[in-house]
Amino acid sequence: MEKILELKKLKKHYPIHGGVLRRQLNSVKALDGIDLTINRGECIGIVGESGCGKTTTGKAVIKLHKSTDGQIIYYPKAEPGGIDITRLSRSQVRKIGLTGKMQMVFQDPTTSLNPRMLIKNIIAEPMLAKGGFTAGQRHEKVLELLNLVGLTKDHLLRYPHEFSGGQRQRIAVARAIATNPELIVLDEPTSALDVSVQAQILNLLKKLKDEFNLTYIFITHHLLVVKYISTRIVVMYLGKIVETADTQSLFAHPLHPYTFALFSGIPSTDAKDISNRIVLKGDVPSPIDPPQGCRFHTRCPFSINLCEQVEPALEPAKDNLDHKVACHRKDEVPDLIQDVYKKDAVKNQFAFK
Amino acid sequence: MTHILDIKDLVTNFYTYEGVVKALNKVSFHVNHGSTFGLVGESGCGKSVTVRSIMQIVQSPGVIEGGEIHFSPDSDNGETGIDLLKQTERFMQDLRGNKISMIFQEPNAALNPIMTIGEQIAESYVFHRKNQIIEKILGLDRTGENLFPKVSANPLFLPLYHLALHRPDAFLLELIKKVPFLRNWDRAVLHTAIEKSVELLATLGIPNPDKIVHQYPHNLSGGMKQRVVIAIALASEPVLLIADEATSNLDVTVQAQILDLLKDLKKKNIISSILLITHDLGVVNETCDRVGVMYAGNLCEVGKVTDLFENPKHPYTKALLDSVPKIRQIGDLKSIAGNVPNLVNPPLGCRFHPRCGHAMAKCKEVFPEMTIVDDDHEVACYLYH
Repeated sequence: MEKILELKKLKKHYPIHGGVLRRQLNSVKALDGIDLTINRGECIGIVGESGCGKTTTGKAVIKLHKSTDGQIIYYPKAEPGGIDITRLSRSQVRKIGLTGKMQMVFQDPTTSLNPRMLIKNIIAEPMLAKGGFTAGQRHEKVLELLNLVGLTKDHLLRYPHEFSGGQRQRIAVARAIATNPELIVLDEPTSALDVSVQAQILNLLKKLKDEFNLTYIFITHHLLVVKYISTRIVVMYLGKIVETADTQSLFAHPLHPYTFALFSGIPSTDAKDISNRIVLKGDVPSPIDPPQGCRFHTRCPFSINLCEQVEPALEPAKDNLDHKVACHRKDEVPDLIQDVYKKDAVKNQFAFK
Repeated sequence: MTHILDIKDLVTNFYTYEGVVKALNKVSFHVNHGSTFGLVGESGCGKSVTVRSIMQIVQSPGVIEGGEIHFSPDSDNGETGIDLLKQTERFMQDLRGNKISMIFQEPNAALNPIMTIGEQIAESYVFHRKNQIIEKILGLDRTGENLFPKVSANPLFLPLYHLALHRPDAFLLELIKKVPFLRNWDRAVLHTAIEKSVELLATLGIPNPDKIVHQYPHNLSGGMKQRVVIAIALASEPVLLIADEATSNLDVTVQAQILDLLKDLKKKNIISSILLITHDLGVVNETCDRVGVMYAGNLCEVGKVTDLFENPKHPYTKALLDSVPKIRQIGDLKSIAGNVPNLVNPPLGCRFHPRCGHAMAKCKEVFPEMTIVDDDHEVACYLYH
């Protein structure tokens, strides 16, 4: 498989200033060293609770903010060697032809569309920024894009407030694909929408991905959405990747206790699925001062002494090399969970309290 | 099963500049004693307006125009209960937060940022149980039930407590409230109530409750705040708890904690009946006994959760269930074509007919009445007439 992007030890710390001289007192470790390879044409889903660094990853990838440390390496089709884009300036990015190759769709379409711009201008704006299109070409392309996302040319001369939430998100998607990007970061694109509209948008995204061979980074907290759309899933916890695998094997055999707890927490509409669940105790610790050792040990039901001292590395599981997990007890966890469920047969419900 | 809440033909309209928004169009359902009723639907379908109408806190351009809301707090008497819409505002004030409590969606907005957690929970006690606390302080309470554990008051103020107990609206009390040093004469009431809130927080599984009561909302995380909101709602032991999207803004693991807590409280008989509003069908499936599906101000289907999820009758319920990604998703998601109608000019007849695959000529003219298709399963659709 062909790589498109590689993140190496990527870090993003937000400084906290204080005191009389506004010195930097501490920092929020939103992203604390993640390694990730993204292949062309795949849809990688990033899941986790709020504050775990999902959005920070997305923003760092498309260089919406400067990362503190680490590398982002972009592999264009022509140049298999890859280019380090972490420290490139805007003009350098333009020079290597990266402008418009990576786009983002934001969570709330109401705030991501300028209320004072017409739809045709909103969709044409990325093409203006990229340059090299005549007015006629832009207009034609806008019409084509509107058709693609299921809107008509009657909508061209309207303002965002005249549309419903789902239609606005369609416009945001049209804007993102205007410059024929290779990679789109979708930051919770369906969280602000109703279920029936969510299904429309998800199907639209799937269709576009197949049509233009796009690569998606799909950020969400909704596990069933990510299961539906993604080919590979990355589970994050407190600025670190705890588990990554392709969708099928992750849902079939989660190895990290956190992933397991996340899955068992999904409220399901299927009556047969209501079963035993692991309810985690407490809340996510503060990313200003993350726990020593494994970051999950404060809430982990299977934590041992080793977990409190040594931070586990992201290593492949024994039977599947693509399934990587950061846990000291990764080989035992499925058995441990089985044990818990055996107890459930008697107690019917088990909660780690 | 007797009904704790029986709603008949509830109509609520909003008089906006664009026209009359017909938010509720003859909604009827009932909540059984000791059960959890779920109300689901997309945004703008009138779920929140329904419960706000029950509590009579519909916001300004909204007017409750018709219908009956029968509320019968006791499970054994066979009476029809009191019609809340015929009661005075004074009566409702006493009822809200006392017999019926409500939890709102956003814990940040529901909590006062400049009051400590303890004060906020105690507020409910002081408002609804002031007399009981004062009796306890004065030693008049002979029930022996240790409702409020710590009792100590400045003996100088004892006459004032007597006055407050027998004539709560006396002029002297009003006057004293204006005197700087005497203003807080009834501090003992607040302190007793805070002691009680510590106990309550402990039952809700909050660690270090005696520390938490002196903290402010910004010190707590989202899940903890929602627990505090639940504590406030439970302070005066309501018989009906209304949870309006109580878990929608929380993370999956925290949502699981809160849902678990609600189930646990029901098991321990701390709450008897819950009216749960949500847009998440999964949450309904996990927590509710009966469920009502709403669409554009109408109730389209009511039934037991197991029946309704396994065997949905109404085309909208079916479509809604199909559009949710499932754990065992096979094939593509089916979405519902089109958009939710504008409620200023809702479609004639069944409000779902423009998006419905089974629409007949009849659907476009007259609204279908609720028909019983099965034991405790009602549908408003001509397919089953």
